[in-house]
Amino acid sequence: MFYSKSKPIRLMILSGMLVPSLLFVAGTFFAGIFISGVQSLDYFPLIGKTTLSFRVYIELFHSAIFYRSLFFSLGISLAATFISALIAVILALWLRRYVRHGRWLHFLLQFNLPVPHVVGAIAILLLFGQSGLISRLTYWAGMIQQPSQFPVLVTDQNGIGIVLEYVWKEVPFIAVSVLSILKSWVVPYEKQLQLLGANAWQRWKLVTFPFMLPSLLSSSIIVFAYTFGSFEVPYVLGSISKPTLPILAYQAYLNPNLTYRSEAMAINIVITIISMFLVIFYMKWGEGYAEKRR
Amino acid sequence: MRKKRSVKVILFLCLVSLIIAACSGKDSADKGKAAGDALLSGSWDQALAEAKGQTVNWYMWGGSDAINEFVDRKYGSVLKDKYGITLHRVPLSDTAEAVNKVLNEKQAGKNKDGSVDLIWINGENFATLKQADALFGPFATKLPNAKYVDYSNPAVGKDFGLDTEGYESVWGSAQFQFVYDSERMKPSELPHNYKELKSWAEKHPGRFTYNAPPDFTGTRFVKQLFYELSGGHQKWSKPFVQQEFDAEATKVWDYLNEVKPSLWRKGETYPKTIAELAALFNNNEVDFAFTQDIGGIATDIGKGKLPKTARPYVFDTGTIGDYHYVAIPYNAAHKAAAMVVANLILDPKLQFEKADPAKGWGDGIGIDPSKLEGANKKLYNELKAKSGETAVQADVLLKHKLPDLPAAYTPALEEGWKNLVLFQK
Repeated sequence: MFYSKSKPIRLMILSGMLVPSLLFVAGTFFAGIFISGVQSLDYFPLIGKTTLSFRVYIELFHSAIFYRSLFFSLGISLAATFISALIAVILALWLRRYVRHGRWLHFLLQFNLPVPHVVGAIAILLLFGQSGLISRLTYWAGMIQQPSQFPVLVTDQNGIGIVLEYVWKEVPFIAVSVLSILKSWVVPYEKQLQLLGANAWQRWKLVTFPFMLPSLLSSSIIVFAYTFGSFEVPYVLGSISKPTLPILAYQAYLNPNLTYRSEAMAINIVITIISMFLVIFYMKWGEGYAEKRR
Repeated sequence: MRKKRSVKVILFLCLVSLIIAACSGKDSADKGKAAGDALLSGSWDQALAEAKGQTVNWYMWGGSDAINEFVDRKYGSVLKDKYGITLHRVPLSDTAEAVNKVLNEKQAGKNKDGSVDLIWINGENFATLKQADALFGPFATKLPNAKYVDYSNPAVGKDFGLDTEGYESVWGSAQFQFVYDSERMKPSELPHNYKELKSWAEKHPGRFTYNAPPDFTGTRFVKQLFYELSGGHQKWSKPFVQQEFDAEATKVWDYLNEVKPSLWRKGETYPKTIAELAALFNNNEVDFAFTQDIGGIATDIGKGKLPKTARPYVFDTGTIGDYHYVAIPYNAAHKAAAMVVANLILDPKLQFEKADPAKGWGDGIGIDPSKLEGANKKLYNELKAKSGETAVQADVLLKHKLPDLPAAYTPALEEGWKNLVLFQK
């Protein structure tokens, strides 16, 4: 019934089947971006603003707080991605030696994938807060006499708590994608190289690393893009005086004075544009890699 | 080549989707309005009949377990059993979220069947919705139980200086109070105004903080400071004037920046919510918490949120107290049921239960005691006699009660605090 020899007809049928879901996805996604974009240009008929202007963007790009948040967000994402990738690679290299116990090791590695970030964030808070579980244990052991003597690890000025949560959550994610490469088609190449007399370092340099780089890089870009736009983790674990960009947008959005709405939307658009660039980078990179492989 | 074409097809489909999505807006706004008008002009029995079987989506601040529990258990079961209404409480961390939801719907042209039926509201959020013409009403005086409410009292009839005009119905009352631990501090050591608070904090570094505005009590803490430093609340009941505000507000920012190094975590960060502040206090990280509950803090003590020896008190210079309300958005899908809820929560017996820390959460009553008769009067007197050492006496509270600022001052103070205190190095 859905089959036809004519290509255009097949394409049409396929398109027809896609419309309902696209209607939903594209409708909400693009409409959201469109409305944010228009509101960020100061268009807000509800409070009588019907002209477009770049006023908010100009103000934003002159605001020290905006830049501080932008660089803070970038720094957190960069640190979280880098540390996660590093640990994930070490973990994957170490884990693949235990192929025989693969099943339960895999389970251990993946058990936190379905845990929502906000649950992880609250767990970090309860563990590492100044009156958290670890602090209480050190108090009980007589190492500290007051909660304030415990080092500030959450809601701190440097985003340590936020990075901690991201690393906890993203290491398994990167490790799983790297491990799948390491366990499959890298192995024969490595064996071949070993037969030809290459030492461990040469094998790593010539085969293992280049082969896992694409999946490492693509999963890292995903992690970077996600952590950059994430709201709930910095909301729970961040210091209120060091907001990330999504928090800054949320604060502006909640302002009962509706004139701040456009500021929130402008920040969202900035986040969107940066994320878009990452997606383009990801796609370009993936494509280039696919071509090279062929 | 192939790839390019499929990209084009997808883009085309997206465009089609967008156009179809755009066409679906704008339905009959008048129809929804007419139904609402019929509700306002009809009898109460008609409203009850219409409400039967409806589900009310009540959007409210969800930061207190005691409040959530009382609403779900008490109101929820009465509504179900007596009126056939299902109560669906939607918790918020900030009432502004519900306000934004209504405004977004209004902007999108969704003029009926909106998702919000009832909002727990007051102050600047009410002002925002009322000015955007996004409220249903006037319904407050239509409610049978409105006979217990004294709307001619400006403290009730005006909300942050703005006439409520029946667009919100009162639920209860609250007043800011400080909470200390009688185990850690003697009453004689307590600061009784902001000046003393500052020197107390400087003598006890790291032992005081306040929840960050725009959290409600945090804003209120700053407003009271504004009153004290600018010479009293009397001169601020008039409309907002930027220059006059700025001249006095500078003193507030100076005070808060000067005290900052002595605060918890040296003022690098603040608790985000009143619940976080209470947790810090309960964990012995700071020595003061705040409460808004006129009936006292026994509920929170019972739940282990505050230590057993915690006691509330007020500054000699006074603290801000006011009424809080419920409002119905203009596009609410279940206006009749929302009105039934607004009426039910004014029922004197339920008002007293809510005010009783053992049964409710110690919220102040919204009704006027002088309008009560017979059994209700007796219940009220019993309630009054109950308040022990975990509550400030009613007459002391009343004597120290200050009105809140007109709504326009709230965003000004919140923005000022953010830019000149929080982000100030």
